[in-house]
Amino acid sequence: MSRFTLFLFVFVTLGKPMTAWGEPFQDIKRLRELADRVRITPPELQEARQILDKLSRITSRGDRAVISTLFEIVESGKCKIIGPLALPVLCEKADPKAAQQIVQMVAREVRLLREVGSVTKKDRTNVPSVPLISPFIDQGASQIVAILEDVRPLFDLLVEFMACDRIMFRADLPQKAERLIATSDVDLAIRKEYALKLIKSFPTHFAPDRFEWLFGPEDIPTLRKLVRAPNNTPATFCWGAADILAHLGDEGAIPDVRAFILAHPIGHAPPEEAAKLYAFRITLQHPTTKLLDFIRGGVWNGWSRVWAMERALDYKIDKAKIRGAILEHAKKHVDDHPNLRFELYKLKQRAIELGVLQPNDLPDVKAPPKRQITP
Amino acid sequence: MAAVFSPLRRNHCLAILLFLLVCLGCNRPKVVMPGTGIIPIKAWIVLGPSAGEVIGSDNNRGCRLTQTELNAFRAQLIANRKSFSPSMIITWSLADQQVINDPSIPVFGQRQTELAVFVQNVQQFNWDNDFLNIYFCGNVEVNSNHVWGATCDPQCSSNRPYIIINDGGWESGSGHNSPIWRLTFRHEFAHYLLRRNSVPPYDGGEHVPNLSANILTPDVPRVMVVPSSEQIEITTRVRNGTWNLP
Repeated sequence: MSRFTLFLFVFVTLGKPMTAWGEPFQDIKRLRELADRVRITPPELQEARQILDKLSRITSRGDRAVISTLFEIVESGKCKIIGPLALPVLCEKADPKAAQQIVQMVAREVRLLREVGSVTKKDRTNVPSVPLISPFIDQGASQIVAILEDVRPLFDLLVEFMACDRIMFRADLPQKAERLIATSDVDLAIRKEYALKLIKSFPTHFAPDRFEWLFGPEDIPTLRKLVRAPNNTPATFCWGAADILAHLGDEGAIPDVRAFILAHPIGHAPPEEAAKLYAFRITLQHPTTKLLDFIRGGVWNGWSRVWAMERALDYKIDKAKIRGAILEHAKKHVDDHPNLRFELYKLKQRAIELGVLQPNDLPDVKAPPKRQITP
Repeated sequence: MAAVFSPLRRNHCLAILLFLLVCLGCNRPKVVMPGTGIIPIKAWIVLGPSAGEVIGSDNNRGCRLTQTELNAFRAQLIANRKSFSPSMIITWSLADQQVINDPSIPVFGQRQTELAVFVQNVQQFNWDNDFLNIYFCGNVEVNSNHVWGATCDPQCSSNRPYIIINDGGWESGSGHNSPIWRLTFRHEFAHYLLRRNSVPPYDGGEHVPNLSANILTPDVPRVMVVPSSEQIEITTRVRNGTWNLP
């Protein structure tokens, strides 16, 4: 290598961090100052957000200088305002090692939170862990799940988070945790393992969205055990398992679930009606052509049409036939029940995603009027 | 003179006067007026579609809050009204409570419905022009996401403003987290009174970061302070009668 080339190499290598920080160096310094403050004015908050946005735009994932700085800001500022705000950017830029460290840091906070217990205790008015856990579950976790060498500590954290008092968090955060387990690009066997763990932990809850799609006929024996004696008491009967068995079309589950519903009615629906409603998804799969009959008809059954379409695809029913059923439903039956129009809108969205409908199918089916809602 | 003020004539006049007063009292005056500082509330208790649902039942597919919990909501909001605005008056009596049913909630399985469907099936038909309408629900979701509560911005031109409060049971739980839900209610009430989007110094979602000393923190609002700058704004809006207008 010539001396000039060597000089250039050294200059670029050494100069790169300086060049990278030449402009944002002052920004980072400022961010550190703001991160140390317990109180912050609105203009300062705006300034901090702008610095974080800029870092997000101009730096690359794996940049050790960025990671190290943001880590320091998050850890030292986790009980203040800027630390939690910086966490999503840290996750965005993290390399696998940093991602593992982030998981350990947040897992410690979740454990602390579990130790604190119920939020209604009078002697506790502040929960320092919450501001750090929230942005992690909201945004950070999904940014690092794909780069973690071992995803189990993250999923363990999510399961433990689900056992925290939910009322301390924004209402949709537990759903985000569940969806990450259900739909992230992680090995199916691991996702199924944790989904089973969760539904066993909360037996009185129905299966979270998309959990049922993780399981197959090979899981029926395991799931049946969760709805049969000795698991047939109100405290132990696993509704998540019952839901998944219904999704799988397991006729063998009907007697157990029916017996439970008749012995322990839920809701105000008459027990026989509830038992019939439980069996609905199972009977639609025997034979599977009943799925198309349901799609094309005018019955409303708890927003089941999108499920029926996806299940029909699982059974390799021709997409053209499914499309035909949807179009017939839209033409002839959508006004048979007041909820069908909204269901059709959701069905259309999902059907286009899955290639069942074309984007220009059902042009009159549109989103409901937009309302600005502030949760 | 003596004939005008005879006992018979006097009693006759008094009777007419009393009759007029009773008639006037029967018609509730419209109180949503600028300058009054009065915010009248109408509470709608949204139950599920089954005939057997009653207020407070743990098995409801709709709202599961008990009357005691609802009374506590009312009492706390009224007791804390001065924290929003020194001059604000809230009126909310049991006579301003009505039970309705939502046919879009499935009678079995996941207990959920969508806001768009709730508005279409229920809210647009159950609305009172003279009041701030609050809907106490089971699990009304927004784009399939859970919300503790939601405030509809009045800039939706086809809708009057309203607040929804879910009971916290989501799809499957019990729905009696009322101490925290009262805090949520006050949080939503602050949104309603302030009514702004993307107005500095707050972020576009009207929420402020956690740990700020502000009622509009997005996680469970531990800090229930309405800062003085916002109190001033609320007072101005309430006095001008602009708090329910775009």
